[in-house]
Amino acid sequence: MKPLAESLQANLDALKQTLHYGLNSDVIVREFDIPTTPPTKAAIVFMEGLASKDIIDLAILQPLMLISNLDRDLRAADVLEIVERRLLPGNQVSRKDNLRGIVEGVIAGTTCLLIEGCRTALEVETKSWEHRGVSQPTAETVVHGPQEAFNETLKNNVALVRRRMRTPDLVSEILKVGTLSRVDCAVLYLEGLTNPKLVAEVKRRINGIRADQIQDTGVLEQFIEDRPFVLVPQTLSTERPDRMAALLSEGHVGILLDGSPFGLVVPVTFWSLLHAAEDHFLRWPFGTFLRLVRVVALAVALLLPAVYIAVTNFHPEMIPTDLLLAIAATRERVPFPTVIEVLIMEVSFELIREAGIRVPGVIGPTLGIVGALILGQAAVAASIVSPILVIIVALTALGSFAIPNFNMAFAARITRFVYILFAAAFGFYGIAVGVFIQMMIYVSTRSFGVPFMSPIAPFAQSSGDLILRYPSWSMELRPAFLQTQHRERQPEVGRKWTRSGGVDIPSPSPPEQPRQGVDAGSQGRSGSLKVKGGGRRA
Amino acid sequence: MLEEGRIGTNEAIAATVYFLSSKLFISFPQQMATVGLTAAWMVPIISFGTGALGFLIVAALLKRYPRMSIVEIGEEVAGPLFGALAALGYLAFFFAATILIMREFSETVGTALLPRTPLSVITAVFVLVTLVAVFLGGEALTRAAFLAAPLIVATLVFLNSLSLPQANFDAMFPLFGPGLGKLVYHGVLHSAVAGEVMFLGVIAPQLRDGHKLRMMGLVAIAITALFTSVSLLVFVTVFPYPLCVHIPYPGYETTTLIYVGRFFQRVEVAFVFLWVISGCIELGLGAYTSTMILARMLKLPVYRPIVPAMAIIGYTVAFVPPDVPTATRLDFELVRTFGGIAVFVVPALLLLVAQVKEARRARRRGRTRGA
Repeated sequence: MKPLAESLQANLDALKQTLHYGLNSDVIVREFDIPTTPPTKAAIVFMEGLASKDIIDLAILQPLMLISNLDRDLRAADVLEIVERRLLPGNQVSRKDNLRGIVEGVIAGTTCLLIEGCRTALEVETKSWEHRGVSQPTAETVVHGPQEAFNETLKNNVALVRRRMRTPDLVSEILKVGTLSRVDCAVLYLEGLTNPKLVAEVKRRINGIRADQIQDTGVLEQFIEDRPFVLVPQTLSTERPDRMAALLSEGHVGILLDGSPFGLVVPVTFWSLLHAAEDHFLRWPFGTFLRLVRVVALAVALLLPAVYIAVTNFHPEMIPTDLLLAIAATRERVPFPTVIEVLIMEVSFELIREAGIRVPGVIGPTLGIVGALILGQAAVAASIVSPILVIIVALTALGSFAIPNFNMAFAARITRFVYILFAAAFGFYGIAVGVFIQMMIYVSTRSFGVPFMSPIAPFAQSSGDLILRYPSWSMELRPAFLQTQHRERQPEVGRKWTRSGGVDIPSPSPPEQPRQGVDAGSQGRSGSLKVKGGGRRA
Repeated sequence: MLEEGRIGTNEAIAATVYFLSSKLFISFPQQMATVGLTAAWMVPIISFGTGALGFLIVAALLKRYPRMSIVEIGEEVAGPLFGALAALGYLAFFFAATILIMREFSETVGTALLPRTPLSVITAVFVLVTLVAVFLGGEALTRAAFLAAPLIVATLVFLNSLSLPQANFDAMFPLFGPGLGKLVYHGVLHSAVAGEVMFLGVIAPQLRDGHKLRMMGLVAIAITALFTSVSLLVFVTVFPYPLCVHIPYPGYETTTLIYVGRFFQRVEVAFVFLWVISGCIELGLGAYTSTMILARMLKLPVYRPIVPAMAIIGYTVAFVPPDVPTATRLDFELVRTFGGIAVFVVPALLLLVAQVKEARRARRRGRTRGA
């Protein structure tokens, strides 16, 4: 780390050389005089496009160039002190005494002020670049709940989380990743709640990355996950600040990367990959229902084509006679064996899906029509596939779309082909063997030391937030596998109002007289409605 | 020292239950019917009861030497030579039982699912799956067993309840079948049907709550005895005694009779699907236990290098019995009859030696103090 010299020119020369001034058109060096008697030479260095011109003009150059009441006899250190304390109205000013620190600041968007005779430079916070505003989530849409998503600006993203967790214990530590990119990476956790060992492990892994550039959390994820060769994701990628805030409050650790609109949450379990943010925004029976639908969706996405192959090729006796005859009739003119038929359709579907993402937006809708026509009607009419297979593939696609986590859906898509091959070779035996191997891989996988199938295998007490979603007021404990510093999330009686007596709400209409033979007490208090919550733990 | 993952109480119980009960899906009911006749369902109660007593001895031995497996305890108590012989006995029991069960499972799959696939291919798949399972370790296997526990419970509950319409409860009588004396004789003689409970003795150093080992074994035996007995009761009432002894896989045959309306009348394939998963867990546990015994016996720091060799030996030996009836007979008449000596009598002897040694040591201490 080269220290700064007293000579302004020497410092500027060193900076210009490091920043390739002249070749780099966006490096701006503005030399000027601070109007003392005699004038003091100074210069600012910044990157055009990363620093705000307004702040530079109004909060740096204007006060320094227009104010002339500095005493020339002051020592350099005093000039710096006065400039910092009286003349720079910027809200964040810090000192730097080495070249590397200045360069890192300038390329991140701050403006560096160098003064003749000073061995210390001032770094003024001027970061401002064109960026996308906060918009709606695209990959994790919900009907009910917040409609804000992360964008590419780290500070905005941290603020979006912080806005939902107004506690001073929310810490966002900034680490640098990438030897070339030197991107800011924020590690978010709740001090005093999150397991310190987990936080230390996350930071250890991020600090241990040796790569020239990490552009997105998708790349970061690959550098920090436990088992790179397991298909299933070992971090939870989310674009929703509300989801990250909820998971932080459980004791997870959040990771945000500057330039990436997706955050990571670690550790992750299998069950959380089947959860959606909306589950908690809906009443618990609806949330539970949606989760059960997703479990079915995962099973369908993984196994349906394989089961179709197994049943039609190896175990036709399973199918009732009428259905068997119907299937046989539709397959009569199809020349391919079932497995080829399934593979044709699955590969075609994957082509459509990939093309749908890559195709320019204007042509997008036509792709659906082409896909539907070719795959649906034309393939059946040409006797390339049977109509029932179109239904199978469509259901499988729906199943994979219903998986809320994009990476998990990807894993299901690929695993499906393995099951198809297993079923083609060994029927149900192959599928069963595949299920067993998958189960073994899942139970032996860990995410930041936490078993992937926690809290079922290994078993630990849980708060009813796995497949079923219990009522919010009954989720009293944080997940045991996170080993948080405080297990209790909320007291046993979450609806305390149910214990503090009812509120009398006057009835607008005269009370009905109790009918004869009916206990008057069962009608409530005469003329009023007693509001009471039910349930022991309510 | 060979350390391989940590195993929780629930996972250990689930794994032991799987280990003990998966044979219910193969020829075990037929063998029980052969010796117990109409009272076939009582034999496992006696066998598992005897097994539980045997396990109490094992647990008492393990309690004396905490954080040691039954293999190391053997060497500690009886010296390297006799300890190794004892370990060989455990190994022979687990290895033989696993191989014969693999052969039977392969035959079941061949009969029920893949009649045109060569048996060698079906067995090879089982061997490969077992290889993967053992490589992933005991921790993963026991967790998989716990994760799949609802599967075996649901299978047995559905199988038994859906078979009830076919049951003829007159077939239970005479209640004591060949007579109480014979029932007790066969039950005690074949107490090795509960021999797999010794698995807990092999993984004892890996147990998170080692002090609960006795409870784990007894709970697992009790659950298995309940399931086995109820299932056998259903089998002997669905297929009355003279028929039951001629059906190689009564569990599978029972599913073929299930009729729940016109749509659900050939559901046996779905049940076999679940049995294969149970079989994979059972085989994985058997192979893992055998490998661990060998690795501990040879004092290897890791067990994985010997897994492929064990797999090849297992695959080869599985075809030694010329047919499945021979394999079944070997399992019942050899492994389940004499296996008890290896897994229950040997630990009892070790416990006796340990007690004698300790008494001698105490006497010597007393003499030294007196002098």
